[in-house]
Amino acid sequence: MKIKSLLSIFLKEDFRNFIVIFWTFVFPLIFFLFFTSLFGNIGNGSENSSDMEFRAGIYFEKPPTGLAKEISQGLVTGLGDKNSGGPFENIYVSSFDEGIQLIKDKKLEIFIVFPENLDMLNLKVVLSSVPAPVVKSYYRSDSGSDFARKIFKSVLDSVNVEFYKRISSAEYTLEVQELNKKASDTFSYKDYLFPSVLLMSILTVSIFNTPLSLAYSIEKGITKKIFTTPIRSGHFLTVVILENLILLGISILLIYIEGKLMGVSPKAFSAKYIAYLFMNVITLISVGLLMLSVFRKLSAVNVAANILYQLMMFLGGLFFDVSHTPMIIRWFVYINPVSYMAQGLRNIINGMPLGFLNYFVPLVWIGACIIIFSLNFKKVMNYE
Amino acid sequence: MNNRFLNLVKFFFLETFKNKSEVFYTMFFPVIFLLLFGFIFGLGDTQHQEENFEYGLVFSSGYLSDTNQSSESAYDTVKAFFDPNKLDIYADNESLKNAVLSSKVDAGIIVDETSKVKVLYNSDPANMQKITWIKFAGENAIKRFLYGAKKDYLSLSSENIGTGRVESNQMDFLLTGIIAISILSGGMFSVINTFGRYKKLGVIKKFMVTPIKSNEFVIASSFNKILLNFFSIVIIIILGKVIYHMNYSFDWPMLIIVCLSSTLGMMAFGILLMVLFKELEVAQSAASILMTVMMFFAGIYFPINIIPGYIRWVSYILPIKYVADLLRHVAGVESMNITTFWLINIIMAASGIILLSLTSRQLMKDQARN
Repeated sequence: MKIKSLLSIFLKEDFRNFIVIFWTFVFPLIFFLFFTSLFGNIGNGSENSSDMEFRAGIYFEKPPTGLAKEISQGLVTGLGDKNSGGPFENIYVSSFDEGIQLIKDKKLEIFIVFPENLDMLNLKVVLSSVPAPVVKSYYRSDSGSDFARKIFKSVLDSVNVEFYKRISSAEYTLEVQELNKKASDTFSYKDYLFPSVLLMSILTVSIFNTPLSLAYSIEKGITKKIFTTPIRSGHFLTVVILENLILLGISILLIYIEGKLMGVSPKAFSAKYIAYLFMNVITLISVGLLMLSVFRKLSAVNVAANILYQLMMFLGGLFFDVSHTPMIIRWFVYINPVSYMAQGLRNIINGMPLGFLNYFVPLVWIGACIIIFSLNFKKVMNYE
Repeated sequence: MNNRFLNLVKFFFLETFKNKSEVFYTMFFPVIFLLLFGFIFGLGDTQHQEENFEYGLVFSSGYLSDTNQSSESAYDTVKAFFDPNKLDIYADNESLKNAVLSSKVDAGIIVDETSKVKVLYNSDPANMQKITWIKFAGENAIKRFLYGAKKDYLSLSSENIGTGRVESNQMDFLLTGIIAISILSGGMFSVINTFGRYKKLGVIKKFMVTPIKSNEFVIASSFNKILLNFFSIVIIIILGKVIYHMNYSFDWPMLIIVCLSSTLGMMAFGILLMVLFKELEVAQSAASILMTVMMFFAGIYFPINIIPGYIRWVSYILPIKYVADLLRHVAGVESMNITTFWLINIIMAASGIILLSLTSRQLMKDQARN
């Protein structure tokens, strides 16, 4: 009864607090919607669609003839002309200087110059000792220009391979197999982002709400007042944890409703997925309690929570691939429970089994955090 | 400058530095972002360095006997085609599959005796950002080997046309973007946090009963934020030089102008949010959403060109893109038309001063009414 009354008071207070409502319930929903609209096309084969827009400047030092003309035109077309639904808008310039000026003025992402001796290509197909004409590409250091350069390099590489393929007697067939994926499956950014949004929401409640509300109550003397009533520290802790679990439950429910409306994979609604998600909740709530054992001052908890939140989120592979980061930060990726949780949730959505580490690492964290918090419990609750 | 104003500046200066949280969030929090995103996006990530993939390869015994090659000679030859990417040779298909699944290699290639080449990728969505480049490089390399394409019919020479004073790379672009984010977040959040706190504590009301004018109050408190923000940028620049060996060559007087105009612009934006949303918490949340949107629409972490056309316009109306451009210019990373440079600075500073003056008066009025 004591717990129920206190819980009811705390929850009422939470629902009157704009910050709690916004960051726990509203922000994850906005985030999911925003990012799905922004990057919804990534990985589903439409990277070269009209959604992208690069401008390529094309300049021929001398108009080519014969095969050289065909090849160069094929190369330009291979970039995927914007008019035919490709990512490039090919702009033919009348002089080298004009092209250079345009790329310097950021009016082009790449400037491609076909050399004067391009016609040597006509000779090279019959006489291999003839030197290869050199196509020059000019780019800037910004990511858009670099992206365009990489695409052009790949297209040119393919053209070179095509030459050899046509004169070769051998015939190779290339078969692409994507492991861990059924042939019928297609990549969906929504499915990729869904676990990230769920984990972000869990992190918000467990790393921010739980330790901060406890630290606040302790530092502001609220606990002291409460402990003069029959409510004991154990009751108080239970209430705070229950309060945050209820908030989290509502947040997860809202994300699920949004996920359902947006067509997230049905596998995310499976019992296995939800059970694994629950384990993630327990793990991160434990991490929040561990933080409170280490930092007890409200301002220190606030700063530590902010740092830990960013580290766990960005080095947990929620939004970017972090497996190739330098060792100076990759060690954190390895010890970060969020890395294993995100991978586990994605594995379930992709129909892949959960590995040993997907269970082991979060369980180790739960064990370690609970032991440390239990040992510090009295100190944390300001008993001593 | 009268004594009253100087004393006010001194008061705010001491008050700011006594508030450890504010010092942390303005000065050191951007440093965490610098380290985090610098390492994630700048060093060791294949998104920006396409030539560091690792492939695994298996030649079936049938293929080797059909082509009269010993395994050693075939392996020695094929490695050259994958250069500068790394190639590891595996004994059998199973061990290669395991290597792909455990991400020991980015892709696996199996050449069998029936002239069939199987390319294995890990469909882990975490690889999606780089999978296109892995595919291009791996497939072209193995095809070149199989068809004996040792020499190019058409060669490619790529040249980075440095538009700035220094030879720059993608890392320089990224870090100037991070500095731009720091300026913007520092400017906007500092005023929201400070004025919000003063409002809550009733400090503004207390000042209003003194002869201090609202402009003096706003300028004196803002001055400290600008100073703090500048310190933060200096720390980031020093760390960028030390950790990432950035090639910056800052034009310091110009940097001060850019910091001043950009911070003013964003501070005004912060106060505007305070006036619009009244409550500190609501204004903070609105500012956070705005920052999230700005971070992803700025073209800092990925090209603006890949944002769908129907929302790409957002990038062009947000100030972060222009602040990043200004910073790149003063860092020598890229050049900017001098008229454009001054125009952006003047627009930022003027809108900052006008908004600061209008919104601060409104803020004071709101306080007087309550």
